[in-house]
Amino acid sequence: MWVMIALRHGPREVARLFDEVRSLDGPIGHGTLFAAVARLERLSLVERNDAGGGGGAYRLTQLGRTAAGSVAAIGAEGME
Amino acid sequence: MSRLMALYPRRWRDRYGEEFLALMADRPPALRDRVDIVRGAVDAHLDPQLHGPELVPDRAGFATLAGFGVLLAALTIAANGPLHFDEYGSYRDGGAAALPHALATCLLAFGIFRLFSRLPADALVARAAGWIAIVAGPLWSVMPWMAPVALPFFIGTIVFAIGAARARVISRWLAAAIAGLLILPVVAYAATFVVPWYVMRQSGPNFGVIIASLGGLYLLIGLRLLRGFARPIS
Repeated sequence: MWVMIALRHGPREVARLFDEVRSLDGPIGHGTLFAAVARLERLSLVERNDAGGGGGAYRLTQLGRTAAGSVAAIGAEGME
Repeated sequence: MSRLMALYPRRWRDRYGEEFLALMADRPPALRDRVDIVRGAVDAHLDPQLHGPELVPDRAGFATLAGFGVLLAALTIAANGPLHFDEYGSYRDGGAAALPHALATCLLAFGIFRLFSRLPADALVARAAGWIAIVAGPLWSVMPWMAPVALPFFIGTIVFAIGAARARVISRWLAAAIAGLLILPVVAYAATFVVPWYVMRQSGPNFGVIIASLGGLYLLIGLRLLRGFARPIS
């Protein structure tokens, strides 16, 4: 979930995604991050964008944006 | 670093390996992160997580597994054949098992052929070895005492398996398992060139090794075919 929240603000290359998820969810490990990314990719919620060259970045798919929006909305309701 | 990544399945490494190493270089893992990486590797083996190509089972695997059943039937027939005595001792006449054994070996050869058909055109050594195995196998099945036929079958299958792994048709582990299974029959048959045949005939363990190895070969190839292959891109 935190991976999707982090990607709501746009594509992230892995190191930056790692830092942002850690800032949201505490000190998650490298293995946990990749397991989450792989599962989100399998669910077509996240995709890798290799078009720009370099290491590539991860971004939300259309389905992922919808799901992340719902998660954020539920989170906001919970805060009220 | 790379030793930690080696814990992950090959398909996983192919997909994420480069950026995983880059992340470890950018954000060196602490001890606790290393434990997390090991945990992630176990997780990746249990659940491959990959959005990979759909695997389509090759139902020819059922034929190869059925061949294993026929092989067991042939063994039962051979083990209960009439007892004969000659100047070298006694032996069971397994002639009645020849037909089921030939059928079983043809089903095995069919399984090998199905793997063979997935080899790329430039895998020349693997293709040549595959043909040798496919032809020599059924020949060997009707004259199982003939080392000059048995050895091309077993060695051909080993070389074919190694070539198929290099061509990524099967995994290196499967190729190693096939080679490991067949190395003992190769030694046993090669020994017939130096040990008198009637000594080999009396040697139950040799026979058992060959049968156990063959049974394993049926199972490995049959299950590999049923596990499936990526659907070709059309």
